[in-house]
Amino acid sequence: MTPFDRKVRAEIYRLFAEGLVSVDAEAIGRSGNLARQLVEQSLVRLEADHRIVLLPDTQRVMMAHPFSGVDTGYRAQINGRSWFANCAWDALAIVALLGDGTGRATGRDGVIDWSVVGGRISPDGLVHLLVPAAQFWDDIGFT
Amino acid sequence: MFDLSADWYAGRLTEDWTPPDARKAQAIFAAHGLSGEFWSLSG
Repeated sequence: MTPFDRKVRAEIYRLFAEGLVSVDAEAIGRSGNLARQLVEQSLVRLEADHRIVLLPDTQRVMMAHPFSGVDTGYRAQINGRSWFANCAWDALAIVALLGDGTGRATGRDGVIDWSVVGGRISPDGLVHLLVPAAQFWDDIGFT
Repeated sequence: MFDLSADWYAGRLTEDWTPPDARKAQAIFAAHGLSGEFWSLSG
């Protein structure tokens, strides 16, 4: 990544962490005081490098793992605030990143409803991954 | 699963984060008992 791409990537994550859902070139540029056209070019590079995923034909970030820019049904909840996640794994990651190990991870209309306290999840559950690790990025949306 | 999530995403929010290479990623999986063909990143 170039230094500029690092800056853009960091701004994307900062905006998601703050709770913004629609993170696009305009928001990134405004927030980071970065030229929009340069941000747009950076987003293309970041997507090509699998650092983010853009909504097709847009300059809006759909995925900046573990954050999602769309409602996938998976959420992380911490102290009354909520973030979209890409999957159960990512919902737990948001709790780890922003909640110091305490929060809630939910998904699939209540099928997943985990309380996380000090990094311990309850109740017990099972996460089934369909795609082998080496193929995660073959179709990251499906993964 | 929580510990895996935490290790996998450690440092992700920082500007100087560098994505793990395949070797490091494999080590993260192994540290959490994830091994075998499904978790292999080689080849």
